[in-house]
Amino acid sequence: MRKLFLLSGILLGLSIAVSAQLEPGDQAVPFTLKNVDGKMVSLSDYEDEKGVILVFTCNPCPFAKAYEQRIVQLHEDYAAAGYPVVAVNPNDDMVSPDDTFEKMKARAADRDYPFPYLKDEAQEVYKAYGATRTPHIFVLNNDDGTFKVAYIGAIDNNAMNARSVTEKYVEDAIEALENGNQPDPAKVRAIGCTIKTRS
Amino acid sequence: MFVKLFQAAESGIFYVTRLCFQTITRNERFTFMKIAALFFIMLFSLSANAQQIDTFNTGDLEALLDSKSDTVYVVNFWATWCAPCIREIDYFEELHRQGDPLLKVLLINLDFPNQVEGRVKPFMREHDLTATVVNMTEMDYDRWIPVVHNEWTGAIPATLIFNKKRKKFIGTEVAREELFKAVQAFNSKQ
Repeated sequence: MRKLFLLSGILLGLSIAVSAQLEPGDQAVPFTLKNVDGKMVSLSDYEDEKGVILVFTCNPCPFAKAYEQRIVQLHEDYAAAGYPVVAVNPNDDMVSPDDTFEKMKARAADRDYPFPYLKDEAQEVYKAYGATRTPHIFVLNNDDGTFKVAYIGAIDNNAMNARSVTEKYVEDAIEALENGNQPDPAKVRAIGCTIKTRS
Repeated sequence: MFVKLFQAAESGIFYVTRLCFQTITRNERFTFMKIAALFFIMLFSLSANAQQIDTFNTGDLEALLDSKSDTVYVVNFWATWCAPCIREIDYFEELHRQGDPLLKVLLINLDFPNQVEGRVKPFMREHDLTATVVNMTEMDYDRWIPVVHNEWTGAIPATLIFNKKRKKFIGTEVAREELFKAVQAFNSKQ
């Protein structure tokens, strides 16, 4: 009997872990995190926007670095249209020493990030969203005051070379939303480094 | 090309030695021979360390996985920026150095192609890697990750052991014993 309890406990744990991953169409999880400027930023601060390009990214990952300029460009191209970028660093800085708050500040200043760069100190936000990579993109759509997940995945289909890109997933997703459609594809494999966590 | 260069150097040295030997003393001759020997040793060690990293794409991957030979392939996906990959890479080198003719180790490197000269080759020198290293140039990862294994999320390190009959996929860092055991299982069941 005890074994049965244990087993069902394990199964329950598994199903909870699985259901924590957001899917396109799900309601976005609200968050409040500390920005590199020391101020707190919440998803609800963006309630007047049409959506948010939520980017889980970090300092040292080669994929994050390769996409950094394209993330800045996304903000420059879409913030005015109502889809600003919000970047979140989900890495545990004990495991990844290049992701301390100080180093995040330095990187944001050095690269002139035009968007907030938030620290997911408790590592709860990335888990709630089900992000697994840096970079990992969640395009959120403001549906009458409720943010919903519209797209999950990669920015495009060539991490190394922006000029060789043939599929611009995030841009296409926003385009679809602007035209009143749901993005297709709504979910693409995110390519990048694993999110660093103390196991 | 390297062979030709080697031959040219060899004949050059021979010529110079002959010239010198006519005019120098026995002691000097001995010194010269030592220098010549040193030069040869350097030349050989150079050839042993001459790193060749071929490019690799989705087509190469499909061809590899479609192999009909009796060889057991141990394919490891890694990158110089991936700490757990570096922790386990020596085990693959060790497997390779066992020299089993029916075992082939292939290290598929996922550093960006523009990092091969500056990072990957120096890393190979530093870790004395002699197993075959290829660099993945297919940047649309979504095209080839599912080709390797349907369970793979693309996280590295990842290892695929296979022969023409079956496959074993390890999607995490692997301990030395675990790796050797897994390879052994392929050998004994053939």
